[in-house]
Amino acid sequence: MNPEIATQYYFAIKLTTVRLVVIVFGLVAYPVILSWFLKYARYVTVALTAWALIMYIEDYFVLYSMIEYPQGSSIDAVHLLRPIFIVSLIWMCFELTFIAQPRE
Amino acid sequence: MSRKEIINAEIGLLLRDASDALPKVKYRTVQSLTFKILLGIINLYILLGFLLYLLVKGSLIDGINADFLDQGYLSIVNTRATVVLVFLMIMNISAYYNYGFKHLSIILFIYMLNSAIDTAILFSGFSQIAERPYFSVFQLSRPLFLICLIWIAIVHKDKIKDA
Repeated sequence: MNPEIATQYYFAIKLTTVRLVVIVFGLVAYPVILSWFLKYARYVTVALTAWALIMYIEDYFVLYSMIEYPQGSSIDAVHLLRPIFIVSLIWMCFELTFIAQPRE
Repeated sequence: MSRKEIINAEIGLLLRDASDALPKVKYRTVQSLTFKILLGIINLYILLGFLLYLLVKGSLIDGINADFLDQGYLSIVNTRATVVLVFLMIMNISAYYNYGFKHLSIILFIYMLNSAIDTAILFSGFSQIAERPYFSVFQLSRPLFLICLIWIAIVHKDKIKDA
């Protein structure tokens, strides 16, 4: 394998590992916040959406020369689902920000 | 009608018009001194960072490891410096109009945190802290900046009832 590509794979795996740890924590904490701290759910959703969007933009427009994701059907599927996931989060932000909250 | 009477009439008209405007001004949210100081610190940090980037880009300062910059760091700093500067402008406009400031400070917090983590992961192996003193100072003071962003989101008053 080309050493440059190998370095890019290595960086992508390192970065993805850190991101996955944060995602796991987010997935555990988010239902708790939605259930018991609805007042702050809006801000947490905005933060998560911003993070997902920033990661997506940085991967394709900023870090494109530094990282390269390995080829594979599961990785392609995740890449395909990323925009859908981001649009869903943006929708949730709008729902939580502009629609009245009866439970608040 | 004498000149004095005309002036008095004009002043009276002006004051009457102003009295309509006064209640609108009265109900504007006034932010605390802490908010103003924190906003100043945030502006200063970002502007100094942009200045540092311009100095490095123009090769106007020494002490930077050139190999480290060649690894792609400069192109990444280029994009990030521009994005953060644009974000600062939007944030200042938002603070002036008092609309969506909390959301913007959270988004900037996430952006700065993400960029700090990315830089730490991708570039930690290329260079030692002493080899890039200016960037290191900027990176090491990042936690303080992040604290400022969270603090300003907390002390910001959205509505008149908060003021």
